[in-house]
Amino acid sequence: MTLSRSLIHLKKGIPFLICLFLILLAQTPAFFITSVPFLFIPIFYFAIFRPGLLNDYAVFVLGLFADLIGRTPVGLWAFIFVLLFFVARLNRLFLGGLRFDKLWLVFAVFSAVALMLRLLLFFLCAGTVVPGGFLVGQYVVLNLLYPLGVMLCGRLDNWIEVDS
Amino acid sequence: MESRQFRLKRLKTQIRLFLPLLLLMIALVFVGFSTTENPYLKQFQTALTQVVTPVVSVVSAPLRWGEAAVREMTFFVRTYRENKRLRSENESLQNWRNIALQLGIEQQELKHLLNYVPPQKSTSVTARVLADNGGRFSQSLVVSAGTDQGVSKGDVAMTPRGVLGRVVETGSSFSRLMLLTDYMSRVPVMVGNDRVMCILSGDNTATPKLVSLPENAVIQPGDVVLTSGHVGVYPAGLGIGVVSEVIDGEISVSLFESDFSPGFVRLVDFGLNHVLLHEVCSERDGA
Repeated sequence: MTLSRSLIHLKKGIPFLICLFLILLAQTPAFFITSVPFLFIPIFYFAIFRPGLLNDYAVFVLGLFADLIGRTPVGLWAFIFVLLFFVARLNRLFLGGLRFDKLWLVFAVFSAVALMLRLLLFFLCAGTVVPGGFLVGQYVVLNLLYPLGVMLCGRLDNWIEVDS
Repeated sequence: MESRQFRLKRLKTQIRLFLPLLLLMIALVFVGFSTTENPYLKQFQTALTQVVTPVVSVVSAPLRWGEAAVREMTFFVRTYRENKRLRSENESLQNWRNIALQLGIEQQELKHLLNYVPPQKSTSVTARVLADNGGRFSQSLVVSAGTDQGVSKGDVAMTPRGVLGRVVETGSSFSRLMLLTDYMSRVPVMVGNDRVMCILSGDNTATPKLVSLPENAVIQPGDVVLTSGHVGVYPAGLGIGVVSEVIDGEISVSLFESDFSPGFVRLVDFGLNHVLLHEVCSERDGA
């Protein structure tokens, strides 16, 4: 295997590493902005446009890692991430053909369902109901920053694709 | 040969189709497993946190610097107003100081008369907040001091304003704090001048609630909430907050340390950690 081929393989691992970075960033103390689940954006984007760059295993591992260091019940984020990736990938032919604004709307629906499902699962695990009002703020910020996230994912996608 | 290859390809496709479903099932099994509070899982998480915490510290450094810069600028703007207020406050405090000195002398005399045994002296370690683990689903912090620095499970985390929480997990160079606002936090407290005994129960909001109140207890907004010292995790008399509102029997407490920003915390050992021995023993037995 030549050096350039190795570099291409390394490049293909960058989306995974960026997701890992986002998980670590979410551990930053007491900044509201970092607790927003930005990982939804690359998972959603790559599931539709480049499922080869972030596969089921990778998404599952990212979820487990997020749960383990976040001290949330292990498997919770993994479940949500895999579900989001699976549903988006299953409909990729349809979603990939949508205009940007419509895709944004679909993401808004997907992220709302994912956050609600996560809250529900958390209630089941914790055995108690805690206020989930903060999720509204997270949801709004996540969706407002969706275009920026998609733009960055697109740039990364193009950069990787040039050499592939 | 071709048909065999075709069958193999079809099998691969089927596996690929069912893989996410399998992973979803595994994730749910993990969720069920993690609710059993398995000690091996806890140990693994502790080890992982030990590895990840320095990385988080590096990753969050630019954000911390930005936050510090904003705080400094705000500080300069507020300084003039603050200075004016402090001057007037200082005048009134001078009077209080004289009263306190008098009371101090009286207290010494009374202690001497009663043959009073003073409580054990506390020791403390100051640590920096490194990570906020809960992601708002739970309220916990990781700080930069662990067993190597003399921190032990049960130490009380304090800031100059009051109690923040307590140490629930220690690694060699980090500790995890459960904040008073965490949904699993339960602190025995006494409220108001009547010293009504009850429990401060966290619910992941900034205003934890008072529960397990005795019948006919009268609690009003403005009543001070202090630790009662029951169960022995927190010593008696530490400032927690004030009752902020009483609505339909739900009593909310506004914590003295309500707007904690990432910085430093003091981990105080009041010599009560032996009370947690039972918890530690049962964990070890489980392991």
